[in-house]
Amino acid sequence: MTRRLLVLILGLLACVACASAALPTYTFPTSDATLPSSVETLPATAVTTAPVITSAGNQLQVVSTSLDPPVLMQGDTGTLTIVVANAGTTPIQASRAALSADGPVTVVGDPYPNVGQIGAGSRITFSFQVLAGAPDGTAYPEFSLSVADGRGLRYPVPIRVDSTPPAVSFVDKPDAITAGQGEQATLSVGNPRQNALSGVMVTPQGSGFTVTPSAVFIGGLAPNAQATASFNLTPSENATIGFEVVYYNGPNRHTATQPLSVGYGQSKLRADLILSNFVVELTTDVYRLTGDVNNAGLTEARSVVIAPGAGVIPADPYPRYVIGSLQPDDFASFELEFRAENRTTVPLVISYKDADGNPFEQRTEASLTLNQTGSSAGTGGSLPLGWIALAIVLAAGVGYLIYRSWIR
Amino acid sequence: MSDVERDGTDLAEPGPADIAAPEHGEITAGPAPPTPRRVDATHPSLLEIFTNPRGFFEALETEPVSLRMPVLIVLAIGVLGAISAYQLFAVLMGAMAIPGVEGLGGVFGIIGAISTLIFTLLLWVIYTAIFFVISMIFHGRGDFNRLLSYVGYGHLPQVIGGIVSLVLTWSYLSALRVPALATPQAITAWTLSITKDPTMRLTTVVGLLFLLWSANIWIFGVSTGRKLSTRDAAITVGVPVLLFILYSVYSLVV
Repeated sequence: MTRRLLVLILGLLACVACASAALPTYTFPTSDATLPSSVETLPATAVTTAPVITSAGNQLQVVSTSLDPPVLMQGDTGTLTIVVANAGTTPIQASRAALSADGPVTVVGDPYPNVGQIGAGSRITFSFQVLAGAPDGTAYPEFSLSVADGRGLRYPVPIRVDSTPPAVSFVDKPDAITAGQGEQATLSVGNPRQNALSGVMVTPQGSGFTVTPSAVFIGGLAPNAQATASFNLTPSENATIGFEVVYYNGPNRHTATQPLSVGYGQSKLRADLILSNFVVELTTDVYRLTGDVNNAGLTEARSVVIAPGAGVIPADPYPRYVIGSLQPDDFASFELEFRAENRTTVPLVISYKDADGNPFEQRTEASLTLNQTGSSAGTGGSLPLGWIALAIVLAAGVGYLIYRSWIR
Repeated sequence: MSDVERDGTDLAEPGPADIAAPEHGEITAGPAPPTPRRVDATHPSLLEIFTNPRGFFEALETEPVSLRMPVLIVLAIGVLGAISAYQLFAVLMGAMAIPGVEGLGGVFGIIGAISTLIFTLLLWVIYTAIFFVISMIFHGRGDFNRLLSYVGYGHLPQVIGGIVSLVLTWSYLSALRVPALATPQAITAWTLSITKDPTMRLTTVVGLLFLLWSANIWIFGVSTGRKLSTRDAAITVGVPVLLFILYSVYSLVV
């Protein structure tokens, strides 16, 4: 029994030894050929290999590949960097390093026709200029490193071409623009790409307007990040307004434009001040007009002032009436005093400002039909019938008594 | 004047003093003689001046001159005018936002009231003096004090006018919106607007109406007090009063 068990153990050991002898033996550098501990992580299209043995002989290996920018856009030029290490214990004589084109990716130049010797445990870095063409997708240009014994290194490097531009949109813009009146426009620039963009800057483009600021520099924009740029535009007649977003994908400059397609006219959100509830009284020759001003618009009206228009003479104590701010759906009372001759209506001017300080003016008219005759209280233009009747009675009574005094 | 002569106490029924005692204190038998009435009782009823001013003043002719009642009448007018003036001045001065004047509305109101009272009394004397002088043209005869008394009585209708004017003024001022007047021009303009107000104009008209009534009474007073014919008295009174009324109407319209 013991003998049988011993034979079984020896047999297992022999199998393990045979299996081990059939597998290749890797020898990793231990000192000067230290593998990078943190290999650059690239998007799916860029590849970082931790160490990969790609050729027979078990000596050359691709340590890492990186692409700058990590994701190319069509027309972009990128730099593909490949690090190859000699993991063996003897130097290797490499003759040529090359990168073959694949799909939309082409290689600019042939920079490594004769590489030379790669020392044992040493690394060598190869950089290739690649040019991305159409269409978008992932290409696999193959890196090859020829050695003297003919057993070279071949390694396909995935390179992704994605031409998705940054997302530019208006988060705030006027619904209509009016010549000479400032409007606020805010753009949002988002980066839907899988690599960061740099040097992002938004610049208004077009003609016939003034703008503050003249440009907004956003700078770097990480993947899935967004930034905003606000502008205060004051257009004139026939202005064409647009925004250009300049950004860099690696060393490649790109632009995106976003036109501001807004028609001329009055803003649908603007304050709309309506006068109502007029009461006109006349004191001597001074009209006293009271009423309400309602904000039927959708935005706040500020610095609201109501004044008589041309053709009438404002009078104290209320030649003008300052209301101040008036919220939407809110109202306030006002009072005006003025002198007017031979008029049936009085022009009224309502001036106000929006939040940006743009002045607005509305004009309306109020009838001068007297609807209050309380002159007895100094608030009306004619006498009440009671006073008139009293005066008549008194006059009649006095007349009668005078008459009676003479007939006696 | 009624046909019943009274002793100046305005009694409707004769009192004990009106009954003459029998001479020598004799007690006579037979039916009691009818109660005689005093024929020297001449002071008329004050209200008679409204209905029969001539009779009123003729009755006063037999009385010694007394200014007690005329002074009271004129004072009443003065007080009513003073109250109106106080209201007006108080409101006007209260509206002034001129430094040094603010808050002095009450003081100026009192000054205005006193001035109005004094002016009313002075006007009484001035009217009398004017009537006295003009009546001299018609060779009028009579004491100045008596004429002063008669003119004072003639002011009685203006007491009613003063009451009406006071009510009108109070009604006007009680609801008057008072602005802040910071400049003399604004004060002038606002004061002018007050005087031009229909209510205040009505006040003036009412005043003129009762002045006209007083003038009618003054005619009889001057006629009696200065021994003038009615025509001469009408001229004596009418000319100055008419001039005053014309001036007032002119001020009212312009």
